[in-house]
Amino acid sequence: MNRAKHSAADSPTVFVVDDEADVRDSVGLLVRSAGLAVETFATAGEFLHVCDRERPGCVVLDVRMPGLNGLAAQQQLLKRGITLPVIFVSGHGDIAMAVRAVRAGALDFLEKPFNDQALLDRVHKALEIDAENRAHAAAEAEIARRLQTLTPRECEVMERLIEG
Amino acid sequence: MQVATPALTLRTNAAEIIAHLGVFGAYFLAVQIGRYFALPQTDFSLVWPVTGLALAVVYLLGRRFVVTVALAAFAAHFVLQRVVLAAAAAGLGAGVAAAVGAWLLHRSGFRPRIEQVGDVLRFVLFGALASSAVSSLVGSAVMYSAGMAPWQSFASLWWMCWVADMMGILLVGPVLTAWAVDPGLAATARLRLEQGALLASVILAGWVVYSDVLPSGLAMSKPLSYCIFPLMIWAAVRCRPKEAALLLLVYAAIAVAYTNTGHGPFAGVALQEDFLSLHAHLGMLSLTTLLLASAMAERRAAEQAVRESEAKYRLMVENQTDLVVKTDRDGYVLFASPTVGETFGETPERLLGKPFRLLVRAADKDHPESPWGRLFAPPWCCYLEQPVQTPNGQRWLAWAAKTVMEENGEPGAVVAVGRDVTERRRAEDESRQYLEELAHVGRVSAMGEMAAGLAHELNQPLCAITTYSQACRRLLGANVAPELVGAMERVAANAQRAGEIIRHMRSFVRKDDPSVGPADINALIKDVLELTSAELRRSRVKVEVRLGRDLPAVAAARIQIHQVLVNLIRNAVEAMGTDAEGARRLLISTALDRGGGVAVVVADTGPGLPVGLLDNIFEPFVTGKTEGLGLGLSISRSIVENHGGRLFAGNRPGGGAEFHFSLPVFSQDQAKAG
Repeated sequence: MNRAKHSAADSPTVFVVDDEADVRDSVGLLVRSAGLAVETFATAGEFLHVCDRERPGCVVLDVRMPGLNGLAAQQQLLKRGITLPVIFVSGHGDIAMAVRAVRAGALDFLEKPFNDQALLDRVHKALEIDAENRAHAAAEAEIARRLQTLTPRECEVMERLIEG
Repeated sequence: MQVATPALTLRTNAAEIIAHLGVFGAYFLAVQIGRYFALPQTDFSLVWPVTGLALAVVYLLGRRFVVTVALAAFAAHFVLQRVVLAAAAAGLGAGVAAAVGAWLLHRSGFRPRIEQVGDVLRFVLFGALASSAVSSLVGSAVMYSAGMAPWQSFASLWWMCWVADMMGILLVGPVLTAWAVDPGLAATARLRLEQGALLASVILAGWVVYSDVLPSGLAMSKPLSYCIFPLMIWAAVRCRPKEAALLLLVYAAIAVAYTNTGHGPFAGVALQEDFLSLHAHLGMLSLTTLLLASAMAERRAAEQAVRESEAKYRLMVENQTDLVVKTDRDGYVLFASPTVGETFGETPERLLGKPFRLLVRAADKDHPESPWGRLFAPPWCCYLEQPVQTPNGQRWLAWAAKTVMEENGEPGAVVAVGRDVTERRRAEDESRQYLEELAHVGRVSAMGEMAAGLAHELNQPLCAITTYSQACRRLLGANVAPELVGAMERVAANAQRAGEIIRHMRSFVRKDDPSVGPADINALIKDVLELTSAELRRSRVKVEVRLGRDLPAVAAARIQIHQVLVNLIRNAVEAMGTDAEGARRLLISTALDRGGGVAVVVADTGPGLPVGLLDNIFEPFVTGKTEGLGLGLSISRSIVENHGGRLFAGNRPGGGAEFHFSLPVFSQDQAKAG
C-alpha cells in the first residue's frame, strides 16, 4: 500500500492482517481515523514477507485464516526475532485458543465484532510497548557501541571501576 | 452277457475248496435220494431234488460252480449206470440248467430272501419252469439219441422229467437260497415256540394224511389232504417265507416218502400217476404258501416302513423348539405339538378341537388386510408376527401357515409353524429406539453446528459493519452533523447487538453436553456395527475389525461417540457406493495412541478424499457428496474436540480414505469434574 510514506524508522505502523476484505478495510479506516499509519494484508504470508525488525508498530492479526493462520504467523514472527506486539482478533470466542495466543506473547485477544474504543486502546498500548522496547534496545545498542570505541587501556580502567 | 454277482462270497482258498467238495458230496447224496423214487426198471426218477440243489449252488456261489455241478452229476450217474455217454448227458444237462436258471434269476433281479411276491414269481418262472425245462430237455434228448429209450415215448417221459425237476427246484431251491443268505432263527422265543409247534403240526398232519394210520372208514381219502392248507396259511401269516418254505419241504418229504411206498391218498393207481397227482397237489400248495408268505412279508415291511417314517416325523415334530399346529378348515385344532402346550400352559390333548384363533388372538380372518386371509385364497400361505398372552407373560410369536390342498383341489387343513421371536423383537425394538435417539442427537448436533457455522459467517460482515460505522463516526467528528453521528452510533450499536445475539445462540447450543463417563471403545464400536449391520449388509460391505486388546477405558459420552462412528461408517459406505463388488471393505481398528489416549481408525476402500477437500473437509457446509449438508464431519470433529481428542483425515496409500480420531483415557479426576 502506501508503504513509502511511512518508511521512516521512527513513525510506527499498525499492520492489519485479515482474510476478510471488508473487515480488513474497516479496521484500517478505524485506525487511520485515530491518526495512525496503517498497512493491510490479506494473508499472513504477505505480511511476513514485508515486515522486518527495524520497523516499529504493532499487528492486528486474525486467528482463523486459510493457509498460515494467526497463531502460526505469531510463531514465525518470534522465530525471526521480530518483537512487534500482537493483538489477536477472532470471530470464534475460543477460550483455549486465546489462552494459547496470550501465553505465546500476544498482547490481547478481541472477539469480533469489537468496540472501536477497545481496539484503539489496545493499539495505543501496543505502540507504547513497542516504543519502549525499541528505546530499551537502542540504549543497549548505544552502550555496546560506546564500549566498542574504548581503547584497550580504557577498557581495563572501566573494568577496574566496575569492580570497585 | 451280464456277469452275475454271487449272493455269497468265499473269502479264502480253503473255503473255496471245501465248498466245491461239499457241493460234490451233497450232489452225490441228493442223487441217491432221487434214485430212491425211480420208476421200476428205468433210470427216470419221479422226484429229483438235485436240480434244486444245483440251481441254488450256482445262484449262490457263482458260475464257477457250474463245472463242479456238472462233474458231480457225471460222477453220480457213472457210478449208477456205468455208461459214459449217459453220465455225460446228465452232467451236461445239470450244468446247463443250473447256469441258465441262475443267470435268469440274477438278470431278473431276484432277491433270495423271497420276501416279495415278485421274487416268488421270478423264482417260479425262471427257476422252476425255465431251468427245469432245460435240464429235462437236455437230459432226455441225449439219452434218447443214444438209444437208451424208445423215441415214441419221448414227450411223456420228458414231461415227467420236467415235473420231477420242477418240483425239486420249487421245494428245495427257496429253502437253500433263503436260509443261505439269512440263517437266523425267529427273533423272539415266543415266535420260535410257535414255529416249533407249527413244525410238529405239519409233521403230524403229514403222518395222519399219508401213512394210512386212520381206519379206511374214517380216512375220507383225498379230501383229507387239504388239511395242510390251514396249517400252511397259518405258517404264511406268522412266519417268514424261508420258514414257510422249510415247512413245505418237510411236508413234501413225508408225502413223497409215503406215496412211494404205496400209502396215502395219492397212492393206489400206478406209481407214475400217483406221483403226478401228488406233484400237482404239492405244487399248488407250494405256490399258494410262498405267494401268501411273501405277500405277508411285503406287508410287514411296508408297515415297518410306515412305523419308522411315522416315528421319524413324530420325533421331528415332538422334539423341535418350533410350535406345530394343524387345524381344520374352520380353524379348529387337529394337532398341536408339545411345544404349543408348553407355550400356552396346556396339554396338547386339551387343545384339540379348540379354535386356534383363541390361542393366537389373531387379526380377524375375514378382515381384508389380515395375513390370515391369504390362507384361504392364493397363495394359500401367510406369515405374521403377533403378540400373544401366555402364562409367562406376553410373547411374540411368528407364524408361518400353509393351507394343505385336498385331492379335489379344495383347501383342506391348515398347518402352522410358530416360533417365539420375543427376544429378537425386543432387540429390534431396542436398536430401533436407539437409532431414533441417535438421529435426534444428530439433528440437535446438526442444528448446533449450523448455528455455529452461521455465526461464523455472519460475524465477519457484522464486524465490518460495526467497525466501518465506528470509523465513520470518528471521522465525522463530534461537532459535524450530530444526527449523522447519532445514526452511525446506532448502526454500530445494532450490529454489536446482532453479534451478541449470535454469540448467545452459539453458547446456548454448545451447552448441550451429555455426561462423560468411562467407556470401552471396542464395545462402542461393536454397538455401532450392530446398529449399522443392516445397512452394511445391504451395501454388501465386508467389515474387518482389528480391536486392540486390554485398552484402557476412554472418557466418552457414549451416544456422541456412537454418533461419530455412525457418521464415519456411513461416509465410508457411501464413498464405496460405486465400487466394484469385491473391493468394498470397511476397516476399523483401535490401538493405544502415542499421546496416551486411545486411537480409532475408520478406513474404506473407496476412491479416497479429493485432494482439494483434504484441508477443509471438516468445515461446516463442505461436502464431497451430492446430497447432504456437509455437517457430519464438522459435528464429528466438534464432538471429538469437546472430548479433548483430535479427528483428522487422510488417504490410504493403497487407495481409500481413512479417518483417525483419538480419545483421552478416563481418569478419576474427570469423574470428579464431570
